Amino acid sequence: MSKIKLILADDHSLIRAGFRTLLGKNEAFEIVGEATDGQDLVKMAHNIEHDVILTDITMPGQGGLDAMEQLKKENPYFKFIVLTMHEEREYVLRAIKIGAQGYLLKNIENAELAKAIKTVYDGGKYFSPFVVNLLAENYGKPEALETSEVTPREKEVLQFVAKGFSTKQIADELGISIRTVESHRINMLKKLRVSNSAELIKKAIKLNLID
Amino acid sequence: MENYFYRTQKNLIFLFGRTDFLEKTDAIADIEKHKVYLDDHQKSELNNIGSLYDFDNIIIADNHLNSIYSLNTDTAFLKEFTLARADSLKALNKDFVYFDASIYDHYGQPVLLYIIPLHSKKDPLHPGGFIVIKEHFSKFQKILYERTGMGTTGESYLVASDKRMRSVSRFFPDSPPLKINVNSEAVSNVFKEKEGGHVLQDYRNVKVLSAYRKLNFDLPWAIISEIDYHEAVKPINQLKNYIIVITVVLILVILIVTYFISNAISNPILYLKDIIMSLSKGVVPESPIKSKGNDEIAQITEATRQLVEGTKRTTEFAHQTGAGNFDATFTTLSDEDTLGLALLSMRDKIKMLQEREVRLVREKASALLEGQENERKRFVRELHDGIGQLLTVVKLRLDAMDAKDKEKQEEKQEVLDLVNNTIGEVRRISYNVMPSVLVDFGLEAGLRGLCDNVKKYSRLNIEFTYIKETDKPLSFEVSVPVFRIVQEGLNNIIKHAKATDVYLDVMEQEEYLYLKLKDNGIGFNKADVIKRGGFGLTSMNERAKLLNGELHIESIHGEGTVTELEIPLNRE
Repeated sequence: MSKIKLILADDHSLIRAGFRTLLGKNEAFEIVGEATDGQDLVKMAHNIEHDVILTDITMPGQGGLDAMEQLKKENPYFKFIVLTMHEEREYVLRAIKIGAQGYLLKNIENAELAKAIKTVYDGGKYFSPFVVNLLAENYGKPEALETSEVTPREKEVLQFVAKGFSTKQIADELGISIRTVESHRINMLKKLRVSNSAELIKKAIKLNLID
Repeated sequence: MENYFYRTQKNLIFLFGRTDFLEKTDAIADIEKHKVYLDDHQKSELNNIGSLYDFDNIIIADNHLNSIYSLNTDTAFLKEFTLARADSLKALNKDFVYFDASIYDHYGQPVLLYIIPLHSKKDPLHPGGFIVIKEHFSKFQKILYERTGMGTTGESYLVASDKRMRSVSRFFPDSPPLKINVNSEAVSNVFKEKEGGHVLQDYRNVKVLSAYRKLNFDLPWAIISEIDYHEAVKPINQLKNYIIVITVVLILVILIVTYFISNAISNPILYLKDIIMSLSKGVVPESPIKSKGNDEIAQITEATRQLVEGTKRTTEFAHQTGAGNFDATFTTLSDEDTLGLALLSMRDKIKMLQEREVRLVREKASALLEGQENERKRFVRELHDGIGQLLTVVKLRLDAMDAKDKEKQEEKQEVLDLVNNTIGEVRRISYNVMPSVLVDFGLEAGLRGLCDNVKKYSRLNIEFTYIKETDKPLSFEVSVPVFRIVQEGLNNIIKHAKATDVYLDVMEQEEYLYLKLKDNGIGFNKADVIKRGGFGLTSMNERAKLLNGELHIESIHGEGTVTELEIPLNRE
């Protein structure tokens, strides 16, 4: 059985050395290339025959995600595992959006790393449990509240929003500050579980809050 | 008077000179014999003449003036007269003579006689007799009265050269005229051939206004008209008084009118003078200036009013500019309003300078903060890339290390946990110093991460809502300060608020960003906090100000705190 060929992209030589040591113990893997930045990685991915690319995000010059995006555009069959210290949702979502098959944190256990590489190599996807938690968080929002919770003042603001008035115009019209208008607007967005004014108006019409 | 005498004389000469009457000169011889031959016709003619002319008596007398025939019996005076004048009668050569007898008749009247000599043909040189006519004196009195309308004290009277009166005195009507001796200046003048009028003492020694002249006649008489000086000058005095009164009234009227006119003229001028004086001292009058009418003064007043208004506006403008209100505008008084133009250019210069200063201060502060943020970024990179990576390497190496027995295995796991915790701590620190997601993904990601971090390390329940109603990206220059403000706010909540729930709402519109951070904590007294210089409120405010934003914090004791932030966005 041939070894799974890996390209490792990280700007820190110590990290590369660490992973080399870690992966070198496993006979299933072979590191065929080590890139120090995004540009390096793009070059290497084209020139060196490989199976899976392990890349960090933050690197000098072109970052890992940018390099991945470029490579994915050229060849969607490149397989990527993001190996990073970033655990914020934005990085995860962007990586997934670009087409990363895996997303791991650098403090990953040896065994899990091996499992992830193998899964991706076999055409699957592997995400750490924290990534799954992140993705699951956005689901299961409760439905809109009772319309009676919308106050008369908020309804008043709503009428003007529906007419296309700007916040400044509404503030002038009602003789209140921009702050107050925005406070009302946000409260309504939250009460009706919508994320912008357009959705707010749609929902308000549906709930007969405005004509 | 003279007219009367002339007429009488003429008539008498005519009457008695007629042939038929004078034919009787033949009778003169008889007269000498004291016999008169008068037929009835002649007698009645004499009678007619006497009554026609109202003579006292007509007497035919001999050459010694002895009455031969008379109309009435009043002939006694003749003797007295004859005694005095007999000589002068003998050589009488005239046809007609007056005689002032200077005596009284028995009525007490002066006797005035007209004597017409009768000449015989035999002796034409000497009259053989006379026709003596006694004049009725009351006629003169009447003439005098007719001519005299001289008030209550005026009279005209006749005085003969013997200085005795011939007419009845008004003042002494019962006294015979001849008894009244008129020894006044008027009489002495008149018989010295002087005529005229004077103020002098009359025969009563009363001060009179006297006019006198000698009668232009054979008799040595003078006519004197006099009126008491007092009465004569009375109308003059009255007139004088009138004139004085009128003059005084006129002067008063003129004074009053002049006063008002001069007031009307000088008051506005003085008023204007005061205004201009005060203007010259740099004081702009407060009260409004009124101008009435349309005359020159009103025009000057109007001009001054415009000057004052202009100065007021200029001053007000300068004042406002001085107070730093550079939005104050000013319409120059004219195209050549040097002061106004200078002020405008001054305002523009000051405004420019002020804006430059504000900009410089802001740039400086903003450069300082930017430097700080850059420093943080660099520091985070060091932390993250240096220590963080090193720790990761340590962890990798540790992980790769074989641990044979169970005890070693546990020890290795402990160290691994320690390293993992350290990595987590470094992550937390570096996030607080400068979150990479803020740099890479913007404000929403940064704030979400911040909230996640706070949730993770505190027991706060944070509800984060970010509404972005525009496609345009938010610049890093805005994101970082806003992030810091929220960071500071959350810090305060964690440290002081004792809250359980926190709400962070952000509304990003195209032209501004609105942010509300609300907690249900214990609240605080803003004044106290500011006095203690605490909670990083100053730095929050400072950052908001650098973004031209408004930070509004409202805290109710026991109910929590609401921090609102409003930032205008100038996206390019």
